Amino acid sequence: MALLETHNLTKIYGNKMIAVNGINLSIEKGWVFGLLGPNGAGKTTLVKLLLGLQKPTAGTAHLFGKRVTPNSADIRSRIGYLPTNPKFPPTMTPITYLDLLGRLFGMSREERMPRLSGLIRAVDLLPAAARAIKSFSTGMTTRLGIAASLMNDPDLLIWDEPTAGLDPAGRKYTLDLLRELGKTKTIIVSSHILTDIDRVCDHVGILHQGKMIFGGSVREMKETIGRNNVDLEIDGSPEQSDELCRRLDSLPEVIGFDGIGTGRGHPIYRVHARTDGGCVPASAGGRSIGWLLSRFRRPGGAR
Amino acid sequence: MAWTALFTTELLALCRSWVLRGWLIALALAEFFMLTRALLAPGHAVPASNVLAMTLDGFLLVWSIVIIVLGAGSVSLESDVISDSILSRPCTRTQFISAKFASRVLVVVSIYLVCSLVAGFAAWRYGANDMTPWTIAVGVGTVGLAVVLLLSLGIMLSVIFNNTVMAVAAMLLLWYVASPVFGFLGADYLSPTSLVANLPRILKDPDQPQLVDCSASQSSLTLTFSKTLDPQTAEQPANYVIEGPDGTRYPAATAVYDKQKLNVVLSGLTLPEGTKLKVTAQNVTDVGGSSLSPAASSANDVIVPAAAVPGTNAPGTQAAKPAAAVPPARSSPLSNKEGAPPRVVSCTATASSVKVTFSTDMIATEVENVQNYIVESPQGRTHQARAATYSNAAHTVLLTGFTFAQDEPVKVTVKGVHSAAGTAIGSRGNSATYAELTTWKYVLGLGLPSLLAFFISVAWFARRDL
Repeated sequence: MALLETHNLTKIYGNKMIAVNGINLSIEKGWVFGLLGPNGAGKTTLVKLLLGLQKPTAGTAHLFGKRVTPNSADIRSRIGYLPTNPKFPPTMTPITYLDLLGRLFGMSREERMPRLSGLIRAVDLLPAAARAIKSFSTGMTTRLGIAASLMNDPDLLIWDEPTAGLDPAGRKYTLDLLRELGKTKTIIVSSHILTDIDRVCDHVGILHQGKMIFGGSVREMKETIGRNNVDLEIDGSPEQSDELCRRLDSLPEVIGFDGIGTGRGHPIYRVHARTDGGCVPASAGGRSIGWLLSRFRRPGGAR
Repeated sequence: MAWTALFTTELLALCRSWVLRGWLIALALAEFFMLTRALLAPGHAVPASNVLAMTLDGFLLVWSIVIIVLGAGSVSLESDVISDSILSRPCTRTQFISAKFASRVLVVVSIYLVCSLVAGFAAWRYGANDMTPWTIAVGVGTVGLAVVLLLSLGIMLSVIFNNTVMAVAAMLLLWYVASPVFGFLGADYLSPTSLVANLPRILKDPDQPQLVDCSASQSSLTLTFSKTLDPQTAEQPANYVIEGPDGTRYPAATAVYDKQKLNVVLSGLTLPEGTKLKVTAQNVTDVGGSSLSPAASSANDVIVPAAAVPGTNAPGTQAAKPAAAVPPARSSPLSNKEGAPPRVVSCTATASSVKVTFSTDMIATEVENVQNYIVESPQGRTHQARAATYSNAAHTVLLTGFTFAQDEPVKVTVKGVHSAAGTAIGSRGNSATYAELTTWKYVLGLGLPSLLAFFISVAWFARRDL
């Protein structure tokens, strides 16, 4: 059985914004799984749904064979979570905060004191161990977050944008640590940086506007991603552009599309297709509505 | 384990918070100035109930702002932190909210109790004590429940609004404009203003003072009362009417009150030997302002003895019999006949009946005589029972035929009855007051909403996205 399974997991905020849209995900024990997607794709929402911090509008998530709910303390006791730009109680110190976590995890004083000392040393926070967290830089707070996520020696690590706001040295340290931890633990790491995912993950899911548009191994992703995306540069009136958008929306092979700017005064749309994106212009039937395909290219590739 | 960790962490964080430290300093200073001003002011002693009520009022009117801030900021102030640092770890939301509740209630109630203890002790030590342990417990408990309610509502709004300013504003509005809402709900007694107005009444001993003994010499009279009197009223000679059998009045020149002996000595009199006097005290009040019980404000047949022969006890100088309602304990020839006198153990009341329980088996014919009971509800307004039925197994008498006003205390005073062994009822244990109904209404009216606020907070927080 998979360590993590979601079924049609959906989150809609206030009937206004679809943050996560029917995600079916299955992660096996031992995977280092990367959640890749641009800002606003729904990565953090998905992570919070997996932790029970948010309630799904529809669908379910199961971790370690148990359904996730807001009161799933037993599931969270096996997870190490590092949030994006983590925020910790400002008046606490690394020692008092990690001590609190140890107590929440049910560790005895004999267990938690050596553990927190070792982690504080490992993340290089020893000189700041007794300082209030409110005086910490972003990098120091992230390192404390890393220590916090490892306090319980978890079976599953969920790190949300762990390299956000870090300097190059901090980023390298974090990615190296992830690679090291990936040898013994199951990890879910979210990022909008493809190279980070490429460096540490063996499996990847790509989120776009709340939908999982790809799921598979990193090698499969590399093969698919270039082939499936096409950029369409349109020479037509705004009404014709709107009509194109409606048609792209209705095409079953199109997962999504974004306006990515203009080229020579013409709007350019990047279309993400399920299969080879080359068939999209023909499927949209552009000629019949009078628009002119000014340019068609694969992102980063030839026309 | 997780709950204990959250609770102790919250407790430590509260103790280190500047809001709490600032409050403690302000509270200590305010208490000091208020108590010294009230208790050390020149003039007669201030009633203890007023002094304690001032401290308790402070928690309802002034310190309530701090309590509201402590409650309303409990979750909303940390909303950006709790998701990352606490609730993504192995604890449930119920544990988190209940730990918040418990720690805040413990801290605020502890501070409140310490203040009440200090004020209560100072009032008892330096003021004129007009309270009983029961009235103190009811008063302190009632305001304590109001404090808990305030805190619970604050935490609930903190969970609902997720914005401290909004939560504090809503809570201030709710608390300080609460009177019309409570009035609309038919629970005006629960509003802060009503509580403040009623506190002295709640704290004050509901028993009226009684004239329990009166003894005479040819030049003076000594009147003994059942409780501490207001010296200003007790030391007014004009407040005592001394009449002979022919209607002749004997005005006293001076009246001296002894707080320790609870007696007033009227002197400057010239009383004829062997005269039977009727002595009535009027406009005399206890330190809380309660006037003398109508049933026990006069003493009849006070005999003026012959001048004493040096070295002997003058015959007939024993205390005159006070009003028929209250046989004098020291002078009654029956009082020491058969051990301890019987007493009224308790009384309970419904809208139409009163049940009086005696400490021992009584003479049925006497206790079934309705003329032997003075029933007051509210204080000072007497009601006459139509029938009295005695149960000798339970030593209870059921008095029926009343129509009492709702929520008013019922006081029963028993006179002229004897135990089956022949011992007359004592003057100090001959009455009981039933006022539990009001106390329970406070307990329910303030306690249940607190519990409700807790459960709403838990339910709301459980469904909230973080």
